[in-house]
Amino acid sequence: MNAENTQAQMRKGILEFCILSILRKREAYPSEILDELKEAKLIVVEGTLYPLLTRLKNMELLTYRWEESTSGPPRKYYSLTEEGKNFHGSLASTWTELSTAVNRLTH
Amino acid sequence: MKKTTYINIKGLNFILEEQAYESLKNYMERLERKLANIQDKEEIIEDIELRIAELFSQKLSGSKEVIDLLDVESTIAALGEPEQYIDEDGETETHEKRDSIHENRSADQQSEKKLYRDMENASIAGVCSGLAAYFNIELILVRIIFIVLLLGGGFAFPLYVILWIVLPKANTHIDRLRMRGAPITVETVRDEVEMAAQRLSKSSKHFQQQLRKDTVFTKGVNSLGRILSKIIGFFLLIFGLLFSIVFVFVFILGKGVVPVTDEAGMLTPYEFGLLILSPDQLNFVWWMGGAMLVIFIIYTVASAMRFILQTRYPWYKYLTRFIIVAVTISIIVAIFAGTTITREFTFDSEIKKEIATTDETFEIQYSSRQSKTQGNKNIRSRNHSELTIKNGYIFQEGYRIRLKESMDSSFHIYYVRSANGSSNNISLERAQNIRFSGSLQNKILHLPNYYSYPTKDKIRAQRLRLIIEIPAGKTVKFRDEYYTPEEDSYELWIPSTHWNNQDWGE
Repeated sequence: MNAENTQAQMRKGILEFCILSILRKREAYPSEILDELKEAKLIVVEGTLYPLLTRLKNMELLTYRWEESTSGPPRKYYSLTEEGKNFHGSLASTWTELSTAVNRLTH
Repeated sequence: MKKTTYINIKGLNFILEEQAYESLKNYMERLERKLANIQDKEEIIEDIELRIAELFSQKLSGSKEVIDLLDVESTIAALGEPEQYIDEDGETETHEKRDSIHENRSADQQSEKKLYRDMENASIAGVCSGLAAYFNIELILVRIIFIVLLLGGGFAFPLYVILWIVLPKANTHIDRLRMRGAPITVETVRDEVEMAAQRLSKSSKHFQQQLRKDTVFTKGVNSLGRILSKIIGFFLLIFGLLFSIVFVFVFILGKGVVPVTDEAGMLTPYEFGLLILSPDQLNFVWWMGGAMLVIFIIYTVASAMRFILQTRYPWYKYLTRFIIVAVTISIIVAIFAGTTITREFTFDSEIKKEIATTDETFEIQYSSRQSKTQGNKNIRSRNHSELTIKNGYIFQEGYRIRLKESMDSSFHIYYVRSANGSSNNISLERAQNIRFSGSLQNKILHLPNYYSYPTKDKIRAQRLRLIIEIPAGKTVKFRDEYYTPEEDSYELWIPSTHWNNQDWGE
C-alpha cells in the first residue's frame, strides 16, 4: 500500500517530462497528446492531462494558440516555449542519468 | 418521445437527451466542486469541455444526431472521475493514485456491496434480479424461490413490495458495478458501459420503457401495469390449459356428453357426428378441429409464458402469424362446411298417412319404449336418452299430437311425417322411411311414444306429427283429461321415456 505514494511520485515526474517530450517534437492539441500518451500506456484517465497542461502553461513552459476546426470544436494547439525547451532539456538529461543508474542497480 | 436539451461548447451545438444532460451536468458539478479552491479552474474546465466536445463530435454521424446517456457515460469513463485526477492542489493524480483510489474503493466496495434493484434484468421491478446480483445466485433460482414462497406462505408478496419501495434502482453503470460488488475502475466501468450498449441494441424496447419513466405517476402506472400483466398472464395460462384439458376429455373422448345411446351405450361425439355427416365430412371437420385446438393450446401457453417471464422468444412472431393464417383458413373452412351441411336441409317433404276414422270417442294411450339394451353401460331410466340407435335404426322419442275440429261428424286420426334433404326426391324418400305404428282398437288409440328412421338416412330433421280431428261436441280422453278443440287446435305432448319416468318418479 505504501509503495503507491512513491510510485505516484515517480510517475508524476515522468508524466510532465513525457508531455514536454511530445510537444518537443511538434505542437499538438490535447486529444493528440492523449492519443500518444495512451499508446505508450502512460495515461488511462484522460482527466489527468488537463491540470498538468494548465500548470505547465502557468509555469510558462507551454503556450498555445487557437485553431478553428471544420470537423469539431476549436482546438488549442500547445507548443513549447523557449523556457519549456530548456526545461525539457534538463529533464531529459536527468532522465538519462536516472535510467542508466537504475538499470545498473537493478541488474 | 424524449426530451432533449441543447448545449453549446465553444460555439458547437450538441443535442443531448434529458438523462444524458443530467449525467453530464452532474459530472461538471462534481468537477467544479473538486476544483473549487484551485486557481486555474476555468482553464482546466475549458480544456475538459473541449475534450468532451471532441468526443461527442466523434460519436455523432449522419444518422446519429443526439447524444444519449450511453455516450455521456462512456465519455465520463474515458475522462475519469474528478477524484481520480485532481488532488487538493490541483495536481494531477497519476496512475497509482488512481489505482490506490480504486483499490481502496474496491476493497470498500467489495465489503460494502450495495443492494440495488437491477432494472436491466428486471421482470417486474427488479427486486429478484437485484437480490440475485447481491448474493451472487442465479436469477432463475431466485425467481423460482420467490414463486414457491409466494404460493406457499403468501408473505413473499408484502416482502416484495417492501423491498420494491425501499431499495433504490441501479441507475448508473457505477451503481450496477456496486450492486455486484465489482471493483470500480475505469476498466470495469468501460466494460459495464459496453455491456450496456450490447443490451441496448438487443432490446431497444426495454430501453424505451426505462426512458419513459418521467414522472412518479407514469412510474407507478407502468409498474402497476406490469404486475397486472403478470397476473393476467398467469391466469391466462391456467385457464387455457384447464379449458383445453376439459375440452379434450369431455367433448372429444368423453362418453357422457351426447344424449344418444346405442347398443353399446352412449355415443361419443364422433359417433354422433356420423349420424349427421358423411364420414369424409366428419373426418375433415374432426381433424380441423383437433388442429385448431392444438394451436390454441400452444398459443395460450406461449402467450402466458411471455407475459410471466417477460422474455421475447424469436419464434413467437412466427407463431402469431401462423395462427392468424390458421384461424383465417379455419373460418373459411367453417363457412364452407356450414354451407355444405345446410344444403342437405334445403328441401323438405311431408307425407300424410291415415291411421283410422271412427265415429266413437276414444282414449289415447301411449306406451313408452323399453330400453332393451344388451349393453351393460349405465342405461338406466335416469340416463335415458332422447335418441336411441338399434338395429340400424334411430329411435326418436316424443312428438306432438294436434287436436283439430273435424270438418264432418267423424274422428279422423292420421299422422304426418316430414324430413329434409338436398333435393325433393331425397327428402321425400327420407320421409317415407320414417316408421310409426299407431292403431285404434276397442276405443283405445294405441300409440308408441317414438318413431324411427334408418341410420343411413342420417339425421335430417325427421319429424312426426299426429293429428286427431274431433267432431263438434265430442271429446277424446288423454291421461284422465277430456279434450275438445275449443280453439283452432290443441297440442298434446307425447313425452319421451325420460320425461315419463320423471313424472312417475321412477
